[in-house]
Amino acid sequence: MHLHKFEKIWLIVGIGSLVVFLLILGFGAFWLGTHPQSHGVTIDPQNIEAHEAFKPENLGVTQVEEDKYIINVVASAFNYDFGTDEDGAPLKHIRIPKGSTVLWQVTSPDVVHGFNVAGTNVNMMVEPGYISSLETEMKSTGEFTIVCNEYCGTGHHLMYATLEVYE
Amino acid sequence: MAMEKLERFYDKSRLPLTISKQEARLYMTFIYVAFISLAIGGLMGLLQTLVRSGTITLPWGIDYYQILTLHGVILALIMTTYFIIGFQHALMGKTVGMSDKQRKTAWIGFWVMVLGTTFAAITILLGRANVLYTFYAPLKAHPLFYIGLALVIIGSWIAAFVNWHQVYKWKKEHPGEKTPLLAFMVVINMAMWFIASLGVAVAVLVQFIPWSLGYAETINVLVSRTLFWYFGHPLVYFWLLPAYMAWYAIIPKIIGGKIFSDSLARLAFVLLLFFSIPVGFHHQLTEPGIDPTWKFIQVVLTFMVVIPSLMTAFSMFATFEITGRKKGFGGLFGWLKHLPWKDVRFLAPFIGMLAFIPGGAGGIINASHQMNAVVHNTIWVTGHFHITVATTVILTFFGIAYWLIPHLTGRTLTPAINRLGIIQTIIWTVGMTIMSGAMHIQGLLGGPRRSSYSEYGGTEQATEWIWYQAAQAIGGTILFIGIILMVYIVIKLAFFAPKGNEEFPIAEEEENAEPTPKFFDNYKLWVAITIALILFAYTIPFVDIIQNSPPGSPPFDWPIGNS
Amino acid sequence: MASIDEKKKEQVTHDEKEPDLRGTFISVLLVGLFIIVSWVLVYALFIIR
Repeated sequence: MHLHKFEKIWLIVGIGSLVVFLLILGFGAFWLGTHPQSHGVTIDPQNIEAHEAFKPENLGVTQVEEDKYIINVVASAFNYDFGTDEDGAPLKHIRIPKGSTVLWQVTSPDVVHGFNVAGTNVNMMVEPGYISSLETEMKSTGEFTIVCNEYCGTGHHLMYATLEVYE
Repeated sequence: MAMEKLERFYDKSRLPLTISKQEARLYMTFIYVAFISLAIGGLMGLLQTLVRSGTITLPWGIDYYQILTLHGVILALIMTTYFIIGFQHALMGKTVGMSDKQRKTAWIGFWVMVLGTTFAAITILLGRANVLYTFYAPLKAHPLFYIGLALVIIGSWIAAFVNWHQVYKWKKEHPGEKTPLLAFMVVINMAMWFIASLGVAVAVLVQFIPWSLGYAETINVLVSRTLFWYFGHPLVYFWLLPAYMAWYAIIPKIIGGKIFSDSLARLAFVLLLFFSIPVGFHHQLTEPGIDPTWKFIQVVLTFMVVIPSLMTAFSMFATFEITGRKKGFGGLFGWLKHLPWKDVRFLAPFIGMLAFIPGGAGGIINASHQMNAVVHNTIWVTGHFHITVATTVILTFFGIAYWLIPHLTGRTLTPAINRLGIIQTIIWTVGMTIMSGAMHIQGLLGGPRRSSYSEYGGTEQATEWIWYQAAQAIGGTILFIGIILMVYIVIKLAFFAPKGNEEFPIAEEEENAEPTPKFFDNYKLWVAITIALILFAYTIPFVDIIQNSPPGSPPFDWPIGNS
Repeated sequence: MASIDEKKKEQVTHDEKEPDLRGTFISVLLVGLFIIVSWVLVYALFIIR
């Protein structure tokens, strides 16, 4: 099999670029820990409240340290449960100061959902039986739409909330 | 060398074969179903863009997700599979021949597929299967939906068995000769399809059907998704490879050239077989239950499948340049001028090739492990597969239809139809650039895919997204005009064009081409390596998924209105 | 002299074997550049977000 000399150079350049991409990704993933979320933590989807994080009183934003927060969310058709406010009304708008580190923990008691804080890297599949979790730093201020981005039924597009990152 | 030449001489005198009337009827029937599906699926696509931009609401209680399911199933699974099988049967009939017995078996495959398609269509039209074409558990559709899908796949296997038998028989009759290039490519594509669709067949037969019928109480969600994506990525290559067949072995003839390299074309197909399947995790990168190291290993394998496409890019440009230089067009880019821009059989696939540049680049981005978080399940992904399958693949299929349909119906592609075809190609290009471009940008801004019209509580982001959704509706409308025109052209070519002999273009090798190594016909070896790669990529993570399974999920029918 | 002639001859036969594909080479390099630029742009987006 004969390869034209230009084709050899092209393949070296092309494969070389792919290798460089992989080295950058691999360095980020294995050394800096920026793997996509994959913790493999399981939960009984029919009894999520047995898990500490998803007891009704623990849903929503919890401050654990000066600039560290945990946000627990139950994603179900067709709603994100962030807990309730002082008046007992469901929370649909949450606030976090800029620059804080947030550990997101989401699970589903029914079907598969998505959890995407649009415009950020918080983008996870939420599957019954697993806890999806990701730690991120909220780098920029603004109002972010939290959308379900995996089809979960006929009310899928009505499943949303908002996150405000303030100065 | 002398023997080699002699063999080639016989090759030429024998090929290509003539297609009989009965064969033509078989091939055309597949193609009719494909274009009927295109018309229905295209209409659904138009409606989606209109709903999502807030332009219309659907009447008679029709749900957005019902037409989305229909759009996905009928275009991604039905239209593509029917066109591909029809086209591949025609390629086999032309290069290695189809016996009466094989033809009859192929008809059985066709009817099994029709039966399956009908079952699935009924459940979708009754609103009992609003699960989209990925039918993710634990959403539960009507059992008949899954049974229908299983039958479509089984029908396509019958086509695969026929194709393999055709080559087996031909090789027995022509000992020591290499399989004709196009037949080789069909064998490889069907081998990939069969190995890959075993995964989804297992999911449907073992998991979904018993569970939806109530014989199994729960389903293992992650196992079903893993089996689906084991099939889902090679599915897109099953669409792409027939386009590559046309690019490597048909386009050179249309532009008046020769095959750039028979061996390199075969090598590309073998590499595509190896690396199309062990890569499904790159669709599951943001899922919680899969070991990230194995995700990364499959990302590396995904990048391997880019290599045959890099080779293909070189081969295409080289075919054009060599042909142009032979015709006396010098300079660095003089060869571009000689290309038959006014021949739709070339223009449509050529634009398909161009679309694969951003398509391929987008694909590499999607598969880039942690970077996937930027685009996963945003409408960027929808934009991505609309420039790949709905432009690269479909424009190539249109390019094939312009000569294949008249060849099979004994008619000709007239200059007037050719002109209509060029207009169609331009309409498609403009419509898709607008629609897919808007989808890519909106996706980078975070806009979700697979969603009906929603203001998301009136956030600033959602207000920004709506403009892109309006652009998608404009693009979608232009594309629908393109579909109407294409259906008109197909009807014209099939029933009304003047009688005549339209050429079935099959390119030849150069007189002094380097002989193709014999080892390429070693199909068993290629399949063995493919299976080894699959076992390597999947065994450990799959065992891990099963061993660390959470409790299973009962069926959920109410979220999709199927209770 | 003789050696130069021979070299020339070699080159001629070599050229016959290898078709002139300068245009192809530049075209594929542009494709490669497009892929790299797109990838880097989205990677940058990933990093700043």
